[in-house]
Amino acid sequence: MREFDPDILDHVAALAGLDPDPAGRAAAAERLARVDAWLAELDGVEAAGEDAADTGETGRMPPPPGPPLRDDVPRPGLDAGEATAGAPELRDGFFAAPRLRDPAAPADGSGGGS
Amino acid sequence: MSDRFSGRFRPTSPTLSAAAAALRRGDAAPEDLDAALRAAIDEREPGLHCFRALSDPAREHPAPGRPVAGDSPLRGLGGAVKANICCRRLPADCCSRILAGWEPPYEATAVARLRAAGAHVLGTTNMDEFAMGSSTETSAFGPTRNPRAPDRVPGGSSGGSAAAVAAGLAFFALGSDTGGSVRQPAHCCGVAGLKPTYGRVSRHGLVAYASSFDQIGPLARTVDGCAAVYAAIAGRDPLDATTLDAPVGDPLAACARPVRGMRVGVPRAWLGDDVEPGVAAAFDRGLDALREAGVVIVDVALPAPESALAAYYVLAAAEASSNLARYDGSLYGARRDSDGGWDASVRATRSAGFGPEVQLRILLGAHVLSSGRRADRYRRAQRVRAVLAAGLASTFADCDALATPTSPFAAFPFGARADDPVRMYQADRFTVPANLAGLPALSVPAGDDGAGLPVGFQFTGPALAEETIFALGGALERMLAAADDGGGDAP
Repeated sequence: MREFDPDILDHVAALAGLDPDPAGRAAAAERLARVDAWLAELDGVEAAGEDAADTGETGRMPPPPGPPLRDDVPRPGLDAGEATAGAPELRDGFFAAPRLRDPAAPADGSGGGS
Repeated sequence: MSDRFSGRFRPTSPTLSAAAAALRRGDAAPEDLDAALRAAIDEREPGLHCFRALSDPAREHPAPGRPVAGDSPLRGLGGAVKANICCRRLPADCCSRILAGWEPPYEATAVARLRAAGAHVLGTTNMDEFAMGSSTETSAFGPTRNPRAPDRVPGGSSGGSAAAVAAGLAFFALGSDTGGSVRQPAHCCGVAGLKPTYGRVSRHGLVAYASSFDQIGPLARTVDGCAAVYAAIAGRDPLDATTLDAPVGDPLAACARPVRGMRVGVPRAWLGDDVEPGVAAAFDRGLDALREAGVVIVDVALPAPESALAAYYVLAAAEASSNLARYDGSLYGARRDSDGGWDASVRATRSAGFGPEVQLRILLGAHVLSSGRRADRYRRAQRVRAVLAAGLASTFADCDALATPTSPFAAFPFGARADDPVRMYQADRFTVPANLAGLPALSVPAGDDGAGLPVGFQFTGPALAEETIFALGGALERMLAAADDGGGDAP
């Protein structure tokens, strides 16, 4: 079986927010190569344009025309200060938010919480 | 000796419809039925591991005083719910370490509707992690054993739900079906399971895996049990914009409807030669039983079915990679901090929290959506989906439903397919077309493979034609029970 390109694996893992350990990486590469080879049967299918995903008979909506997709380049996240800069209220570095459920609410859910 | 070889396998509780009838006649009290289920769970759960967690009997019990809409056959009956469907006070952690023990602050619409029909929840059930698997072996909390053959898997991903119903530990269960995850475990465990038309049952409160495929569906020992649960949970829900505003009809009555003159298509060319002989024989016996009931069996051809399985795995993985991006340790479940900052913490959290199969599908999804790939396999897979859906719609101009075995092979031994994902994925070969096209499909218990392993017979119908496949399923069940000499697990 051909191996999965390690550079592509690194790129895909970064996109996926995964960082498998060396043992996990080897196993993931092997399994990914196996599945990728199997999926090659799709390469013989004639690709179509924007109508390809329109399964009209089932009532599902077709996708919007044209693929407005961003480049798949991993981008750094915000640091804690940037992420919380817009918070109306902070507590110990976290967003302060109202409680969703009152732990003392009746078991049947008939009251309490908001 | 396993139940499978003893020939004495018997669930320890009556079927849903038998229990409902006993309650109606006053021959049993809901409290007694509930106590019997709890006793059966105490006895068999340690050996089977159907449940992720059991509910507190003091809180979850038949509630005679609770107002119930209509005359639901679910009144007073206990059911189980897959651990990716939100229930109060029970973990909905999808059997993943990344969500371990997470209890949702609200209930799924399907669960709320079960309660409105008078049912109660016995517990949440074991499953393949995030519903990714066909054996329940990828659960982070250990596998479930098949009650019919404890040395074999119960199927998946709703394996805990199917096993609980098969063992008589619940009158019914909810599962979720993205590529066959209700029907394939139903096949493996010898119970009935329905994947409704996409949009028939609200996904509000169902943890998302592949949103354009996911549907909640019922499992029960008999077809009419499935219909009763389906009738309770189906219908428009303002909390899920993809639900359909179409009449549900009377699924329970449909189970007894005559089928003489109905036409059922069999895609022989698609079935191929790699269906296990025992499964193929059981399927042919099912076709003979339908003919005896007056059903006309016709050969049909489907476009692109050979590529359907690969197309499904491309599309489902792509959607999964997007849906599971939310598990980064900031909002739900476990979190692993890192000195390398936020991004390193996210990677560490996800790498430690997701199991190998989930990581594989996320990587695969990111791969097929990445530059240079998304115009290739993803688009080709969408093309297969569109062609298949159009082809199925054309086929239904000539027949009322399609029939296939639910899966090419019966329940397999633990570990037999776990190391090779592609071999495992073949379990879904006959189930994924219904998900790709958004159609309803029903797996009906159809005897065994000659070695005691259950076999499911699948009907796939046009969109919104649940009543049609319930009618065919009910007829098949009656014909096979009549042909049975009284042994086995006939309803």
